[in-house]
Amino acid sequence: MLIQMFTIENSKLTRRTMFWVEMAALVLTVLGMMALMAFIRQTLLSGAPADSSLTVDGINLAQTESFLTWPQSFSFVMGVIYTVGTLLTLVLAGAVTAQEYTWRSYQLWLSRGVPRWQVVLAKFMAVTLATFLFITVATLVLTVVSGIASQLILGSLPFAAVSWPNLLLTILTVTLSLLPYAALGLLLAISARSTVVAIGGGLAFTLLAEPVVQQLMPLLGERWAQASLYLPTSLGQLLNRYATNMIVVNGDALPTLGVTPTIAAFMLGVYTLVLLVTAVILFQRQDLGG
Amino acid sequence: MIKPVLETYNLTKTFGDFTAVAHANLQVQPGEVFGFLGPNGAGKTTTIGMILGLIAPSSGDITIFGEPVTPGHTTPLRQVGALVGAPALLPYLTGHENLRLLARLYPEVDNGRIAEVLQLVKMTAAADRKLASYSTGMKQRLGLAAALLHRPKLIVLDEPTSGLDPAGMREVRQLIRRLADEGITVFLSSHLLHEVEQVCDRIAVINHGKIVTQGAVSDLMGQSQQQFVTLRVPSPQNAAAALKTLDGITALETNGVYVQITGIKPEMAVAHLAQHQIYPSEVTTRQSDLEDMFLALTASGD
Repeated sequence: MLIQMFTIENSKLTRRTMFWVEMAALVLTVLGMMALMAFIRQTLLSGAPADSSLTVDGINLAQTESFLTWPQSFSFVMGVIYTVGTLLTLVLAGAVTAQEYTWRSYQLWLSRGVPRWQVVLAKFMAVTLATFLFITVATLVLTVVSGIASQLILGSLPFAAVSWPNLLLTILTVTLSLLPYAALGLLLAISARSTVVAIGGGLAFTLLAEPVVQQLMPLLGERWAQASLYLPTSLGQLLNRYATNMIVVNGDALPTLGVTPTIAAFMLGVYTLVLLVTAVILFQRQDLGG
Repeated sequence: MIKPVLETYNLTKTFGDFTAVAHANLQVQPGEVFGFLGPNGAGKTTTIGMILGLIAPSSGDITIFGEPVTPGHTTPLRQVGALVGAPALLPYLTGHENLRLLARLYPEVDNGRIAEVLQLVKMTAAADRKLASYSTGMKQRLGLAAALLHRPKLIVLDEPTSGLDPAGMREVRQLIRRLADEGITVFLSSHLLHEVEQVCDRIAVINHGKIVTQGAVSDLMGQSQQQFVTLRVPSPQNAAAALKTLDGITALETNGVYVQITGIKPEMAVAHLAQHQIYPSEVTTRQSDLEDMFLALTASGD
């Protein structure tokens, strides 16, 4: 029945306007970043084409062109995709979970003998798939747009400079990095049964609490600085730095950034599991009458 | 002995200090339409919530088709269809899409069955409209279609005619009877006593969380059968005072120019009033009905 529930949740999700709005938002973010770089390049070129020391906001022409073209464009934009993806995943998971309390549609599935854990897990799986699709589509758009930019700027497409398998791996690592946020959105929605609290709480954690803690912990000493690397956002950033660095063929190897990629991936999995299991336990105990 | 389709034993639900349902024992037999009556806040919806695994009982047991049901074990509910309160369907999908989505839970339900239930509840024409544009009655009909979709052996209906016009209410009543004739057991919660009287074989009345009576409608009506005598008199207060002295009167109340009594025959009341120089200008009688029985049962606990 889990598979049926997953296909049901998936259909419910993709039929929602919110799903398409979020996908469009991520694609527009990618296009916006590329357009911004193109604008900076144009500004630098029109200022003094021969002067390589000229910068806009500290970025010189060579860096700008590197950001616009393969393979560096991936390293540059994937970080942004991760950051924006965090917010989109939280909002999506929170909204689709909390709204069904208002619509009372949980009663529909539960009164037909669908086990509660399957309802939560199917929803989480559908949000995970949606997140994967968001990242994949945004990466495809980035590949096409920066491919066009590469052709225009470099005069050719540097296929060999891009490790395509590692690009696919990066899509997976970004998705994995976002899973704790999907589980957090789900947990907040189930505990509050309110869309506003789920989204508001999730955004407050992601935009305020986590960054502040991440900045403050290193100030408390070496041990705290080390511990701050294990925050979900730090782990996500680290994992994605490793992954995007591997997209560049023959690029400089990154030194270990405090936590190995395996540990980072494992810890992200642990966060996801803990949040998801807590959400399932809460849902199991809820009275859903009336 | 026939095994009940649905049985609750000592079913209790408390919310803090408040007891919503106390030691409810219900037995629903195969193929019957079982009415579940009670005033607002009596514990009907909480009981149904527990039966459907939506609310965890504080104590007691529920079995459906002989198998226990709890929020953690809901397998028997796969043979149950339910419509509880306002139908819980997705507003951004059409009626047809909602049913198609639901049908994925049941491999045996095909497009033909979806069309069949839509026709059964007279929703074929509106099936391709978004649920958000439906009236309350249309949502109720679609909810009923959803409950019937997988040919359940037991159907739990909570106020199924709510929001329907009189013709729609009659259609639903006929449908319930037809389902029972096909051998499907129906558990019907309703506050419309006329509706219950027409379609139910047996009933249970719940008040303040307690089951106050349970049995066949005909038996319960027989037990509480009494005649109401209504007299139109010039001075109801004087008439009431005179009638109070008469032996056998079980209830007496005045309403405007009328005095209503139970427990004695109308001719005795008229003769007695005549002795007091009070002459009724109008005398009517009627037999007690389910409403009288319900009011008598539920008034006692107030």
